Amino acid sequence: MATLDLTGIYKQFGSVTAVHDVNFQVQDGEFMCILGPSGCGKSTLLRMVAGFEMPTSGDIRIDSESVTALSANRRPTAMVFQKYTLWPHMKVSENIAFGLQLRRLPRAVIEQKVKESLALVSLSGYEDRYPAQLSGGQQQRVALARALVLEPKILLLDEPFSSLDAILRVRLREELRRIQRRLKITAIFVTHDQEEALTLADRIAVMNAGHIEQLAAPSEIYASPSSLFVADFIGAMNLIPGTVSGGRLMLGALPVDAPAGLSDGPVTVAIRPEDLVVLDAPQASAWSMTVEQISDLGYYRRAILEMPGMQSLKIFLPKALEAQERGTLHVYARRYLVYRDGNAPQEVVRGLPVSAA
Amino acid sequence: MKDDSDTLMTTLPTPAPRPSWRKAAIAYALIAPPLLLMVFLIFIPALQSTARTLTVDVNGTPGFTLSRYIAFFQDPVSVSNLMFTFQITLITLLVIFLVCFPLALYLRFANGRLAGAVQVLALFPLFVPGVILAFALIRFLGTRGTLDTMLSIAGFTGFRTPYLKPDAIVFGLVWESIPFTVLVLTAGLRQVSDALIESARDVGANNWQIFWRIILPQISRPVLIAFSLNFLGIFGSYTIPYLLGPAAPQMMGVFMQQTFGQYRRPDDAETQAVITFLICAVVGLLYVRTVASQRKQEQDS
Amino acid sequence: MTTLQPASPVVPGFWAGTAASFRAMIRRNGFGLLALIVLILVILGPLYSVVLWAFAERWQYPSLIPQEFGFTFWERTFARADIAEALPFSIILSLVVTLLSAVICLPASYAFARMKFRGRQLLLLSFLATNAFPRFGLYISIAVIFFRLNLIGTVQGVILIQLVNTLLLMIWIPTAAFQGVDKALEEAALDVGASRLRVFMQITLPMVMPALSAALLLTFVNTFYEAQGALLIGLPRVVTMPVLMYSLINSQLIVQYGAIVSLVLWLPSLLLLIVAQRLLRGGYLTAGFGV
Repeated sequence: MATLDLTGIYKQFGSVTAVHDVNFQVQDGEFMCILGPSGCGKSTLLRMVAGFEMPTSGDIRIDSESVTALSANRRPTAMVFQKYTLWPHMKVSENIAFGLQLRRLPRAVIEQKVKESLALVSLSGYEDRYPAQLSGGQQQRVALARALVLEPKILLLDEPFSSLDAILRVRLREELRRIQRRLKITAIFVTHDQEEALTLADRIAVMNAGHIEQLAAPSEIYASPSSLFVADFIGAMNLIPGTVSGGRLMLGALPVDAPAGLSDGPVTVAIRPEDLVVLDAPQASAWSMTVEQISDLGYYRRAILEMPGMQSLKIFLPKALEAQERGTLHVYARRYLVYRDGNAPQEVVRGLPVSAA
Repeated sequence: MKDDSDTLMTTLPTPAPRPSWRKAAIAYALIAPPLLLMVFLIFIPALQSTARTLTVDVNGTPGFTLSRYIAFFQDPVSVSNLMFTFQITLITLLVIFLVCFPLALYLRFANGRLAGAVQVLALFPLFVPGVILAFALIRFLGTRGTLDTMLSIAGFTGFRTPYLKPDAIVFGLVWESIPFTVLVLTAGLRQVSDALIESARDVGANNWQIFWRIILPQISRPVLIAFSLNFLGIFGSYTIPYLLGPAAPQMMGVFMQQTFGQYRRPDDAETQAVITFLICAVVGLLYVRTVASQRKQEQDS
Repeated sequence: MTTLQPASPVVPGFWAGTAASFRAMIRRNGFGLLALIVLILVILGPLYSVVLWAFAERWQYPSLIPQEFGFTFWERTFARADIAEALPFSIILSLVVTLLSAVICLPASYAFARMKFRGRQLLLLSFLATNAFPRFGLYISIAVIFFRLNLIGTVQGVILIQLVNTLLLMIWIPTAAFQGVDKALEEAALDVGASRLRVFMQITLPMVMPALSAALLLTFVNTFYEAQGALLIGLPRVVTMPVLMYSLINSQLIVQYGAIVSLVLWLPSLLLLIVAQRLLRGGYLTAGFGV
């Protein structure tokens, strides 16, 4: 049970700035995901919280106490690593017990705690196995047990499931969420997998090039990405360059509704594929586009549409809708965001054209 | 939180990481003992010997001279010993590769029990020290030894022992070198993937062409390492030629020991040693460079 | 472009196929069988004579086995003062050299594996120099210096020259082993609260132990068998077992002495032979050559 405060965290490796002025607070019992592409500094940030790296400047506080000067073995954090890091020469029980033994707990207490933590990760009965005898998923569960058994104030997870196959990854993700809810432990989870972040997190911090682009709840990040980077990084998105002149917004040769008060100049319009609606008939405010490619994705289809003077668009089609490649669809953008110069976007929501409704 | 971050940033004592020069100093201190040992027992003796054999004392001041080397090359015994060492080295190397290449190829491409047994036997000499080998070979190759006995039981008479002849030196040195050479060559051959050989086969290469054009170029480093280390080992050998070889001519190792130990002429022994250094310098460099580039490749991949 | 011709006519049978044909060819030619027979004769033949000689009371030509077996020569061998003295001395000497080598080299290998400093790679490679000289020539150079320092015929002199031979192996094998320990495993231990020292003792050390024991074992055995340096530096006062073998070979009319000493000397090698599979798999057997 604890809060974590990061204040003005910088990390410099030689001339490279890996982390640039990161400030945020993680609430007690909150599950926070740090999401970003590889090399964005998210792992470095986590390793600074764990104590493996020293921040070049800034302060890390756990429950309002500064831990910046503490080495990793003195911090009330526990980490689950990306790689398998069970000690190969120790049994599962010894791996879990190691940290407890360092705390000089009585043998009976240690045994009890090892048992409980293995039960927590559904691996009861695996005490005497060696890591080499476990599958990758089991190893990461033991690693989780090893971290949890110490009852850390903050649980840190550095892409713990990234080396597992897709099905296992989903199952362990759900299990982790269940355990975290039950223990109400404060957790920070680093990942490059947006789906993982969206399903797990109470809040997501999207990182890019060493700084935090947006910190918000998953639904908010998806609905209103605060920057073009986030818009592009989270979910599928159509990003279309446009220009504003005299209050009119043009995407190529096509006029669309402009948000109020936009001065002249270039902008980028972001439209989620699901915000593109297919109409029965051509409309003045809709675009008639050629279907370039259709991919069947099971319960829905994804299509790529094209038309002259406009870049190709991604769109999701329900199974019921009749469409084939080379055919024509009339699409209408129901909702979109207009970005300019790294400022927060302006949202445009439009009702469906009357005839279509 | 965010508001007071600016003031915090400047006032907070951030733990300074240990300066890198201090870390480096600790590292140098740790590697110093073996390094110094090597410098004092390898580089300095070698350099000192070289320097000393090239200088002469002219009324208290040292001067440059080649007289010791001229004396060496004017002495027919010395020259014949040097030539003999060359001969034995080259012949032994040839035999080593003739024996070990087929063995290594076999071990690379064969599996099963027979190959396992062959491997065990080929590696066995690794576990037999030189003196024991010399003794064993005397009992085996000598007159009325095991080989003689076996041949005579098989009805073959007229066996003439190679013991105390150059042949016995070659036999002993090859015997000693088989495991190392087979290990290095086999390891090299394992780096050549089946797919590579199969694709060469696919474009129509036969086994011989595959060996010369595909396999050999890829294992050039292991071959060079085997060549250079065996060369150095043979050229600097003592036990086998001393115990199995003829009294004359002698290989350089035996010759040097005799000059130093029996004739008590350390200066001459030193000259002989430096001559072996100079001859082996090229091969020694080749060895170091090959191992270095091999390691670099392994680390890069 | 002209039409592509096959580079060579593919003759079915002997030359046909792929890598599998290499295997087939080898099998068909009976190369393995031939190699096995020749190796048995050439590798085991000499040892066969030694083993039988050690237990022979009487062995006269032409017979493949001794006419009489017995142990009388064993008693006589161990009754010899020189052997009774040299054997324990050799064992202790090898232990001392191995221990010294470990003390000198292991911290260095840790530094090579885990610390950053200028010239790390070059200095590590510099230990190849121990192999890059013709061995006996180098010994002569060292002997000339030792001669001036009055180290000839002393135990210290023998220890020094034998230490040189152990450097490469004792540095390269442990360096590779330390490098092989994933840093994340150590971080994981730090993370659960272990101190640096404890991490080293309980995580790092156990993981490099197989390699370290291999290095120690190989160093011990190599040192035990080192004869040339000991001969040149040690004589006449310091006599190790292998050095004693020279005189047993050269100036003993009774074959059994040499055979029995050979067998006894061979015992440490048996240790190696027992763990040979593991040494081979760990790649330690050629490590002493820098490969």
